Parts: sequence; C-alpha cells; structure tokens
Amino acid sequence: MATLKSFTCGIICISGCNFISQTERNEEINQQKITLEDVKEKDQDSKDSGSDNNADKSVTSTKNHILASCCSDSGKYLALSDDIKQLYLYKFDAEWKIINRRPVPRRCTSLTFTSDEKYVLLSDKTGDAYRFCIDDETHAGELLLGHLSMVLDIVVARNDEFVVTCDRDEKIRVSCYPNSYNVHSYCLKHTEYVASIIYIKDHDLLVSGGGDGKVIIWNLNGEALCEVECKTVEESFLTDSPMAEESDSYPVKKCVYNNKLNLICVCFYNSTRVHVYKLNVTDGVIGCDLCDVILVNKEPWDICCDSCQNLNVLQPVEGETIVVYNLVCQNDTVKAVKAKSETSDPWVTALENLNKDWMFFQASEDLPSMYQGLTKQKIDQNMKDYMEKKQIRLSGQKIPQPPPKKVKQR
Amino acid sequence: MGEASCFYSLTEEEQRAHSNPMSDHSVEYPLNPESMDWSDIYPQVSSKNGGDENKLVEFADIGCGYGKLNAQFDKMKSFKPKRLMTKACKTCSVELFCFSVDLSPMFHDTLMVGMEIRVKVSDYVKDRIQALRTQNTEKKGQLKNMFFLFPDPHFKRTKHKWRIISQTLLAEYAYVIAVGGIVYTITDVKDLHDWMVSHFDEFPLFERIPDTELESDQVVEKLYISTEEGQKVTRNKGDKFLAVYRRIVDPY
Repeated sequence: MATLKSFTCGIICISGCNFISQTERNEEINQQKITLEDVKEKDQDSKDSGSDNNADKSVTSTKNHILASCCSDSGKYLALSDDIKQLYLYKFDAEWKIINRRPVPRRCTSLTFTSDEKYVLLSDKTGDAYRFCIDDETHAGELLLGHLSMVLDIVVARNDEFVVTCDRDEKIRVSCYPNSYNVHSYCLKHTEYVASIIYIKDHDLLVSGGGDGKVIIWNLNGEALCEVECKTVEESFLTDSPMAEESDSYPVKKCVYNNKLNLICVCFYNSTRVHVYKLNVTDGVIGCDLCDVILVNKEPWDICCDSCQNLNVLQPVEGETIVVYNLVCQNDTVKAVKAKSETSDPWVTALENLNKDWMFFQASEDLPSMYQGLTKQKIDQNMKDYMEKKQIRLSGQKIPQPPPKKVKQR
Repeated sequence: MGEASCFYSLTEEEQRAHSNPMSDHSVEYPLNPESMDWSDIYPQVSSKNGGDENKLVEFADIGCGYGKLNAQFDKMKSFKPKRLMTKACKTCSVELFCFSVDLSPMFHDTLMVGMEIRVKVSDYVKDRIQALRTQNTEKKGQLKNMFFLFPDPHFKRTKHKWRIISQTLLAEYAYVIAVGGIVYTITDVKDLHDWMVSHFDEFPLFERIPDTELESDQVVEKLYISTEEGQKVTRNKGDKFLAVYRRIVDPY
C-alpha cells in the first residue's frame, strides 16, 4: 500500500522501497526520490561473500516494501520500517539524509515520534510497542507495552504524558509514558478492530475509527464523548453519484485531522468514498457533523491533510494516483473541492506531475489488503462435534455413569 | 456435594487441559464495565432485592476450572454456582463462573468470579445454571484479590508466550487490581514458579509479600487444597510453590 505523509516543509509519498519528497523552499519546489538501501544484499555480502545467492536476493529485494512511516511534528525526522524488519531514520535539512538503520524484533504496523523528538515509538504485529532512541543507533529498543492482538496504530498524547495504542480486538489503551506498564485507561466502545487513532492537541481529545464503521471521540480517561456512524447519507451530498444505496456502515481504514478547520477526514475499506466531518467543541460539548462526501475512483490507499488546507487522496489509479482536494469553508460548513488540473498553483501542479510516474506506484498495486487479516475468523474449538454428541446423549438412552476419572485442569 | 453429584460424568464431559489463548474465540462479552449487568448474576446486588447496586466483584480466580476454589471459600456444603459466564480475558476467551459466597464464613458478603478459557468446561456447568457470556467486565482497581492457581505451565519454550503471567499481561492485571490488592500464585512446576516470580519481581507495580507474613493469611491454606490440580498434586505428594504479591502505587 502506498502512503502519503505531510510534514511542515512538504509532503512525502511512499511506495514499495522508495519515497518521493516534495518540498517548497523560497518559492522553489524540490522533489527528491530515495530508495531504501538494500539491506539483505549488504548483510549477505558481509556474511557470506562469495556464495552464490543471486536468485534468492532478487526475490527478496523485489518483495520488500515499506510497512509504516511517520514524520516528526517539527518535520525534522522521518522514520520508515519495512518488510525485512528494519527501522530507518532520516533527517531533513534542505533534503533527506539517512541518519541510521537498525533491526526491529517484529514486522511493524505503525510508527510515531514523541513530542520531544528523542524517541520513535513502534508497534508491531504481535501486539508489542517499543521505543527507540533516534540518535543512538545502538539502542536496541525498550519494550513499552503489549496487547494480546495486533496493534494497529500508536500515538503519543498530552505532550508525551501518555502513549495510546489500538488493536485488532476492539481496545484502545491509554498508558502512561514512559512508565507504560501503568495503564491509565481503556477506551471501550468499538465492537470491531480499531484501525486508526488521532490525538487532537488543541482539545486534548482522541479520535478513533473502527471496523464497526464508527468514529468515536474520547477524552484520555476513556470516556466516549461523541460517536458517529459512517453510513450512506442522503443523496444531496453526492453530486455526481448514482442513487444513494442502503448499506451498513463502512469499516474505517484511516482517519486524518486538519487542525486549522477542525476536520476529521475518513477513508474506508471496500469503499471509494471519503467522508469529511467537522469537529465542534463548544463549552465542553463535543459534536461531529458530516460536511462532505468525496467519491474517488477506487478504494484509496491513503489520505492525508497537508498544511495548505488540502486533502490529498492516494488511489491505485494510473495517471490519477494523487488527487488533491481543496478544503473550502462555505458559510457554516466545509466542502472538499477537487483541484483543477490546469491549476495555477505550482504546488498542486508539481504533485500531479508525480502521477506520470506510474512505475513508482505500481510497486504497491498488488499488495494484499490488510482487511482480510483484520476481520476475525471465529473458531469453534470442536464445539459442533461436542454439541452433536451431547444432543445424542440428551435425546437417547441414559448413559451409564463411568467410574470417576481424574480431570486435568488448567 | 449434592449439587455436584448431579453433574454429568466428568469423563463424558471431559475437556482438554489446554486451550489456545491466541486464537479468536467465539465468545460474546459486554462492550465495557458499565454495560456489565452484575445484578443478573448476583441477584443480591440488585436494588430490586434491596441490595447495593454499587457493590463490585472483588475476587477473581483466573482459570478456575470447575470452580473448586470458590467452593472452598464457600465451605463446600454451600457450593451453589449461581450462573456461568464467559469472559475473554483480553483476547483469551475465558469462561466465567460466578458463585454466591454470601453464606461463606470466610468472606462474608464478598462477590467472587472464576474465569475459565475452555469452553466445554463452561458448557458442562451451563447445563445446570443459566449462562451468560462476557468480557471487559472489570473497572480499574476493582479487584481486591486475584488467583492464579496451577496455571497451564506451557513447558515448551515457544509456548512461553501463552503463559498467563507475562511482562505485558501483568500491566492488565495491575490495572484491575486495587492498590493494596493481593495476587496469589501457586504451582507444582518449579520452572513455572521461577518464571512467575521473576516476572512479578521485575514488574514495578507489584511487591512480594514475604512467606513469614503469609502464615497469618487464612486464604493461603485453602489454596493448597483448593483445586482439582492441587488435590492431585497432594495425592501424588508433590511440591507446591507459592508466591504472593501486593499491588503498590507506581513508584515512577
């Protein structure tokens, strides 16, 4: 899955083992393309130089791709983690330069920086979260906390006082930081996996999106303050759509936040729509209202709000991969207006130029969706067999009492 | 044990000794502690019956099996499992047996639950008592006592992550136990005992209660004889290793 990340100086687009950064400095737009160093090849060369591993190498290097990424608040650092369990840290100073690389214990699901920009926090597929010192590449990582199922997203809250993690069950855990063995609260209201979590600094709130099609707004004590069901809405929102069909709510894939307009933008699995909600906080009363619905061509890979009030949608469509929407205030509401292709905005033009590089995006085209792994396959522990036997026993003749037998417990 | 004798034979209902805690279990549980209706299990906490609705369950036996510990507290003769529930202890689904202990001379008026992961064990009891299935049942700092009695040792190194005591799980237990609350662990497996002790010792929110202090603890003697597994070990004249910890304030 290709992803988009916004940072103070620009935007980063990630696909496969590559990323492209577009930055603006003194009204000049720069693009930089970086490929992850080929770790496997390097390590193997040093380990067993001479042995013929070419076939094996080429397979692994084409398969590898970036699993998670994050920019620090200041825009100074970028963290990436890939399928061969490496963590890469880059520093921005007019352009991105790698500062270090180190192995991580498991495949990464999400990354975030602490507000003090001393550590990068990493969550993994087995449900653990670690922290790694940014500058010290010998720092192997400290285990912060563990969930019993895959952690899907990790953020820090209230100026590094808390770390918030959400998992494939339905739990959001607010833990103290860095003493994360101390659980501050659980946010329990979702009924499916929690895919995405955001901390809103201005209001000291959490926003979560789950597989149950709900966006829920919480305080850090685990109290749900507002709940929105992401469902098909009246036709009026959809200017160029067919009839609004009856449907269940959409399983949330990702939530992003625009802090200038207080907007929560949400994209979904198995849906081409992007919902735009306005967060209203008046006198401690929290409201969350749907402002607009965008329909794109395919289920988006990713969405991202940037600092110039654009909503960028990344979709697996050749030639129209990055689609830019301007978020425009209209009276009391906000509309997402698609940026014109022949725009005078050089920033948007440069971004749309990336759409010509389909080779770059193609690396992400055939990667399987996370969605299958998120939905639960319930097992019945041979209960069916057992129940049938029991049914026979109940309906049939009395079964003689066998002699007492030791029963193993636990 | 008038009640127990009308159970189906244990052979017929025999359940595997193990259940994979990592798989997705098909159990239902409440969304959060607030939506857990305890009065359904404990009629005495219902205001309709003149009880105190704010009364909370304070004892939990993790992996209770057939619930002998709770029965022990209940002096065997008043062994009356009121209801059965299923709890997924975080992801692990755990059967939750609830016993009325209002007659118990030891813990008069204390509400207790037992939790069991093996669904067939639960069904065994379910035939006599109305079933209720649940998870996310406890509030922060709700429990006063928690018991891990003869837990599955999971001997293989690769299965150590399945053990009920682990570095990251202790954080979840610490969350539901009140400061000052006590965790009892007992096992006949020395290796598992050392494992549990090392994890509890390392964990900043628990401190070990020295064995000398335990002599006056009326709960401890019951632990040795309380469970099926414990009784078996006694019959075999095996060793039993006890370790008891107190939940303390975060020193951080």
